[in-house]
Amino acid sequence: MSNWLDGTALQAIPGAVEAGLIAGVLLPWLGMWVVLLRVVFLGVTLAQVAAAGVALGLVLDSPPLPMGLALTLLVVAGVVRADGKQSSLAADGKLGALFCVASALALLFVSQSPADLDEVQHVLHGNLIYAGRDAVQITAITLIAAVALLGVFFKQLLLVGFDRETAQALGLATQGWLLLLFAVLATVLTVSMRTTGSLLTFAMLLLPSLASLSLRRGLVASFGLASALGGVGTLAGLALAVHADLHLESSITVCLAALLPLCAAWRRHWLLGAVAAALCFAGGWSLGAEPVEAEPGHAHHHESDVVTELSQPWHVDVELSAAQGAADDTIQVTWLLTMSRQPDDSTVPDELWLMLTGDGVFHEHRLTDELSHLPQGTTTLTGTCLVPSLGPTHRLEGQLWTGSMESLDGAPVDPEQGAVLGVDVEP
Amino acid sequence: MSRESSQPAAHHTPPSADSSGVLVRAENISYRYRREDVLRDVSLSVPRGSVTALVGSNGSGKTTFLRLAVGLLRPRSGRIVHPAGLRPKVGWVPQVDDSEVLYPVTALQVVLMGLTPGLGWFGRRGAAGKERSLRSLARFDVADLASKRFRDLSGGQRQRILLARALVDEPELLVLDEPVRGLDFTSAVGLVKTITDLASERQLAVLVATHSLDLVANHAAQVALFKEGRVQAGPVDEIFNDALLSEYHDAAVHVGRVAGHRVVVPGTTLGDAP
Repeated sequence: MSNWLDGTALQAIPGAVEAGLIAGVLLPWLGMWVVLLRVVFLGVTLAQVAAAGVALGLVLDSPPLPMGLALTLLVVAGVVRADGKQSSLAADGKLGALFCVASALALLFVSQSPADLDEVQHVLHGNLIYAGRDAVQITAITLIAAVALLGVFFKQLLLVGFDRETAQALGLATQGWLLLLFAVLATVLTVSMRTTGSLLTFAMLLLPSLASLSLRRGLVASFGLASALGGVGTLAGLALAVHADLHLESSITVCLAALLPLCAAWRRHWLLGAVAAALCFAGGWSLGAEPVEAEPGHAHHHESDVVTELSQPWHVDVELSAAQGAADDTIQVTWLLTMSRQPDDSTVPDELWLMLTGDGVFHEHRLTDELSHLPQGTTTLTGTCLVPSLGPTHRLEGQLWTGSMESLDGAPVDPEQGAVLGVDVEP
Repeated sequence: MSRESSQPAAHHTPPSADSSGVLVRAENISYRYRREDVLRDVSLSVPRGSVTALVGSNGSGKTTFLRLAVGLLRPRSGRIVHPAGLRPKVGWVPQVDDSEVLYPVTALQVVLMGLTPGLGWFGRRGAAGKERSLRSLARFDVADLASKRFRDLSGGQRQRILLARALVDEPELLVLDEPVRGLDFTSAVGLVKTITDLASERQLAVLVATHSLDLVANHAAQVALFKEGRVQAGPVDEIFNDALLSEYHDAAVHVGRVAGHRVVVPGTTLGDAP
């Protein structure tokens, strides 16, 4: 059985699996409200506003997430306030205008940001594969709190969504309930941006919810089904990305989109649905017919040759220690590299790079460019590096590469050949 | 019953006293939408135990008045008075065409929604709420539809379920917007009869906007004729005459009697049948 089915390949990207499944199961539950209330465009617009806010935070050198959240909540308040007012402009027209402005401002702020472009991209668009433990925890806590909050007030939100005029006539403060719902949505969108990115966040919000509603089950069942379908689609996307060396977020999005025709087929007849699912499975399997074991996520170039060579008998261990700088904008990292190699091993790469990710951190550092020249047996090297940080960071996760990520020669080191453990950052 | 109007002062009678059983009273209210006067200086009392019908052509201000009466809108001038003191508990039946069909809710779940405002933030409806909802469905002969998907039902069935929802929390004021639109004759008559009986049994004040003059003529106690933001109101006997209805509809209208029931027909040539 292929390792992408028995799960061993997914173990190489534990953060991505954890973050993906948490978001994949909980975001569709929230997405049901987005679909039922017909506020999909509002959601898209809020994501852009959040991006603009985060970018503004980077320009002003203030914490980007709180800035993004503040700006998004401000817009939510304005949208809810304008909801019941007479206007010559259609609501979606105003949202469209806001979407344009927010998108343009995000780009303008990014261009003016003093931060490194990689860091900006990481903060703005997220990257599931480099989801740090802090980011995963914050996303999980936010999503669980959001689901719990909307679950407690399910009855009120249902009446407001189903028949707003009646809810208002019966004395419910409809604007207040909408404010709660949209504020929760804004918070989730802003926080999720760090891990799942805007594309995947929206895919997770919408696609499983639409698939679930197409099955025409009851109300409670539809919410549960949306979560279940989201989880299944996310897992399938992760497995597909690992198996076929595809871009992770896009693979998950495609798998979630596949839920729509699959559910439509299932609704006609369960057998038709099962056949369609089997065909999808076969299609995914065939994509990875040529074995490629490189890490997913940046598969613009295949590194199968390098990886095959790296599976020769040599091994690298890297231990880290890290301390937060005085100004919270740098972290001092000390590393200790232990290299073991057998005689006549000519497959050792020349360079070894350390990729560090964490909350507000995305940094690569070359550990050595003479790895292949190290003597046989065991050798140790040590060094330090200064890592830029966008704010206080509690933990860093590391990964070894054979070159810079930007370089065509670089590829992730097979976890069996080289390992680096995450490290808590000392204050 | 007092006769009220927004016409010149000679026709205007001040709203009746609280002791007359008036639940809601509009006092000289005006409302403007996009620089256009929708209602102008309208006064109308809605008494308990009977049906008050709002009649008029499209855009004459009927639905706006309903919204003002329950507080969905605020008048530009004038005021809505609740003689009993507190705002009465309202049952609201929107136009059935406005029903949301995306939600996968059953008829019972729709009726249960009517209990939500009375629960507070963390209240639960429980078995008692379900029992009340089923009773309310039974009142409109649709208990057998409780587990059916709301969006799969016909317009008439949906209308009955929305009525069951409006009444499940035992409101004092029942407000209906075009309740018989799209219903067949038998269903429409049955529905209006049920509403009239409920008004009498529960001392419910019923405010209904409709185009169905025949039903109004035979079941409403009071009629308010809306035209260009102005209102002429009074008992059916006073309002339903050829001259007044013709004036308000800008067309010849004849009110006659067939087998003891009022009928309203266009033109003036139809004689009264025995």
